Amino acid sequence: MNVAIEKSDVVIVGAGLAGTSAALQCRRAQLKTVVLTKVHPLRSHSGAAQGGINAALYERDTSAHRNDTIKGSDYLADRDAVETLCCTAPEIIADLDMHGAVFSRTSEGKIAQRPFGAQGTARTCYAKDRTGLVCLQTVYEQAVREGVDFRCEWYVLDLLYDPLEGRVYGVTAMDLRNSRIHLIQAEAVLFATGGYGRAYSRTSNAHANTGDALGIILRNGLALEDMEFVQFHPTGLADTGILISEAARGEGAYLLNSSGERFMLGYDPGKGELSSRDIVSRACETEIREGRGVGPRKDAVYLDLRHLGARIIKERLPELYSMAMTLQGENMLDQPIRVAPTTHYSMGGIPTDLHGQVRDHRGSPVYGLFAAGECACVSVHGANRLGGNSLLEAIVFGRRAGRRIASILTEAAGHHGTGGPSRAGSRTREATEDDASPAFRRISNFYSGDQQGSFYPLRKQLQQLMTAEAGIFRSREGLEDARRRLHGIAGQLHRTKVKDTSPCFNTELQEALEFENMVLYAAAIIESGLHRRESRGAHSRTDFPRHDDENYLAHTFFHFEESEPVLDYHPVRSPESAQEKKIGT
Amino acid sequence: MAPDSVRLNIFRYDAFRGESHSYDCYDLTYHQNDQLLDVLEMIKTEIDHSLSYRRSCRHGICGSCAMKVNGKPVLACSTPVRDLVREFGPKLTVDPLDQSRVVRDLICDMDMFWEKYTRSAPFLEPVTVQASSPGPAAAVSAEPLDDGKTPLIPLIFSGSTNAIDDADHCIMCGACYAACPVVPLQPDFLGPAAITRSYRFIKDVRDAHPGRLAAVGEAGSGVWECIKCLKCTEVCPKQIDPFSKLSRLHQEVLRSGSSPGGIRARHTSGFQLNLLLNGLLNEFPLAVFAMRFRMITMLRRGIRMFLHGKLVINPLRPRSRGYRQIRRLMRRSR
Repeated sequence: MNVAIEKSDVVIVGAGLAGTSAALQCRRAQLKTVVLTKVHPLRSHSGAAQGGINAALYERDTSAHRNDTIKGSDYLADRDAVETLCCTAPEIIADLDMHGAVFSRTSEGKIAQRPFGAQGTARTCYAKDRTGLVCLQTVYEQAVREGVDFRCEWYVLDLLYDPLEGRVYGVTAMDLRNSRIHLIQAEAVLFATGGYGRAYSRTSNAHANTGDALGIILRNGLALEDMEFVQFHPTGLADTGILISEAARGEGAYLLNSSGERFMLGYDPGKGELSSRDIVSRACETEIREGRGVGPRKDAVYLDLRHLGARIIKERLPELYSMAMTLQGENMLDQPIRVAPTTHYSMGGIPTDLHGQVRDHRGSPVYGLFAAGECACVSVHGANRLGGNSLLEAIVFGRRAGRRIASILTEAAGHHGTGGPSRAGSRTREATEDDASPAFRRISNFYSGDQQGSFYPLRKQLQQLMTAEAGIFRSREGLEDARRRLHGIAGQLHRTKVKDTSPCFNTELQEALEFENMVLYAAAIIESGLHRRESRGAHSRTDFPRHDDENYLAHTFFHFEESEPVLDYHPVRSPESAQEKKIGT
Repeated sequence: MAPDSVRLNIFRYDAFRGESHSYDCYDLTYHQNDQLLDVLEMIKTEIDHSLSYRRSCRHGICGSCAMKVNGKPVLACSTPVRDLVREFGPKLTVDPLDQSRVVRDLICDMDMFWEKYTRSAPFLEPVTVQASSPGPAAAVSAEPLDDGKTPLIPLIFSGSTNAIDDADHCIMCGACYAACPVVPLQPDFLGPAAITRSYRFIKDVRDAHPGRLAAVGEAGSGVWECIKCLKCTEVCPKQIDPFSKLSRLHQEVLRSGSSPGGIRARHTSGFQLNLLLNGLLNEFPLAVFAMRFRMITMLRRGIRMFLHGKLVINPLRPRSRGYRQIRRLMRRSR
């Protein structure tokens, strides 16, 4: 086996906003920090966020932001996490601004804020409609300034995890340029791999959003939290699912059905188009299903921006204007554009505490393993995320995880010298060549002799299956059918073959490995959804249309035991525990 | 709408195979709103799984999928096939951005590009000012906010960020870099993307990094290498117009007087001086001004030009009649 072994203090997987924010903190604490990313950091999907980032800048305090977030989460968010998120927000905006982010401003020089869905006041700071790009550049560039070691176009295959000790000691990764396998031993590993929208056929997500860490977590017998909560954004471009930001409605755009009626006024008379995303998505979907859709296949509704006028559109929404024009051939100045709900964000993910420390299905810490950003579940978004809270979450909790890692490692170094025992009281295990064998096995499975057929048709099947059965509306029959068919897909996957044998940018192999992860966490979405017999936030069961607070005001924890799915439930953390946790953060 | 057909010739290569490159030909149909990337994905998932290219966001914001179609750099995800067919006809040739740096199919080694980006010090160094001092940066807090203090929300006049002129919306796709004819000839040239990045920070009132202007004025790597062909502006998929930024830096470097910048810079300032003095171009003194002692190397050519009547050496060459007006115009245009 041709394996390279190296050592670092910290390995961070993913270089979007969360990963890079964490790296910056680790680097400032003089830790050796390696960031692995399968795309260049500036190509991360954080940069695609359009609308903005929430912060109670000019409000009396942050309580309104907190209350909106909790209400928006359909009361499933952990109160202490939300408190942390909202309190830190103004500081994050100031920090970004000080380090170069060019936020749009009011004529008095204040940072401009636009109204976003389900929030009582205009609280979303923005840089035109390229907020994510500006934030990502700012944080990445500061990381460059600090000299973070970015390994671009490296793909992570596995975690080095010792289940007996309950301790992580590194990762296995592949350099995509030459397919060389590397073992990187580290005191702390942070996953920040982002969302998994690619598991659905209609998605706003980038090709890179395959949620790799989630598959790796499940393969190692660890748990995922609240996977049934998948956000569908109400306004994706009808043909492709590519996002038209909530900023459009924030600036005043209308949603219209085939008879030209502003149908949202019927579903939520108070907030109209600016209701929370789960409600607007369900409304759009209902209009379409009941035959009031528009477009050649009647599978869309209209988003009408014409009354905003050319000046506002070109000044505040320039990207949206050119996207609708290029991708759908529709000029939003003269005509309403066709939009439909699209898979957008994963509220669930790897369970962590307020410091990014990963927990297992019992809620106890997995030493050495951290997670932040969309791949993690703290949980600040509960059953439904508010627009403008995702960039914020990535930075706030990325930073917190980075700081926690830094304090643990420097503390350990202070007591025992560098590389000393970690908090678990045990020495970090040494990585050996054998640790790479699961990764090699995974790869060679795709090349063994008698197999044939490609995984690409299977991937398409899975994506369509998820959109149809684990989409906006779900039911027991649908989810059970999905479970059965997923089982079939998983079985067939082992009989497929990767034809490309080149070691250089073998994207077919990479996509096959990504798909393998997808099959694992798709099971988590389906099973968690099947067992939550209520409707809450983005999880909407046609057979259980109401809340069931008595049984389900709790977080779902999903993991595999001997390849069998196991579900546990943990209570939502209360405001009281928030008070306790605030001390010493 | 009925699909139309297109023929794609796609560049194929694998650095590990050591064979020379080839083109694979695919006849396909495309729909009204299909982008080039949609068609490539169709090939990748249904016809030839080994075709490799970079892609991610699908809507022109991540900058991964820049490639050349019939020689023109485009972002595959936001270039409708119908537009390409309208421009080039139904036969399209798809190439990597830079054939000399290709490693696999449409994937190039971008290390050089990123190295130049890093060399331009692409990060803000926050100004440290007294909170009470006047000026646009007045309320920028000087303290790093890591200490948990309640931060001051900075006040910056909206006008003061307008000078950045969208330069911060560059997505680093490398299209301008691939289109620039100077880059292959002058490997040290930073190129339009990195210089646009420098511009972005030079124009930021919050930046305190010293010597950015001197760096872009440096001979061999900086703005003087630009030959003003406007290719970068022509191909930029985000309409950032790198050329106008570069040309504004030209003027600023000259005005700051900080950098002589070698022959090209002296040629520019000599040109200006010439016009200011006489309202006419007097080439011989201009050449001496720009090349200094290196004029020796031009001696032979100079003599031959003189003998053929191509070189007029007349230090007393008269002024243009309207030279005052020219001078006034030049002053005003600054």
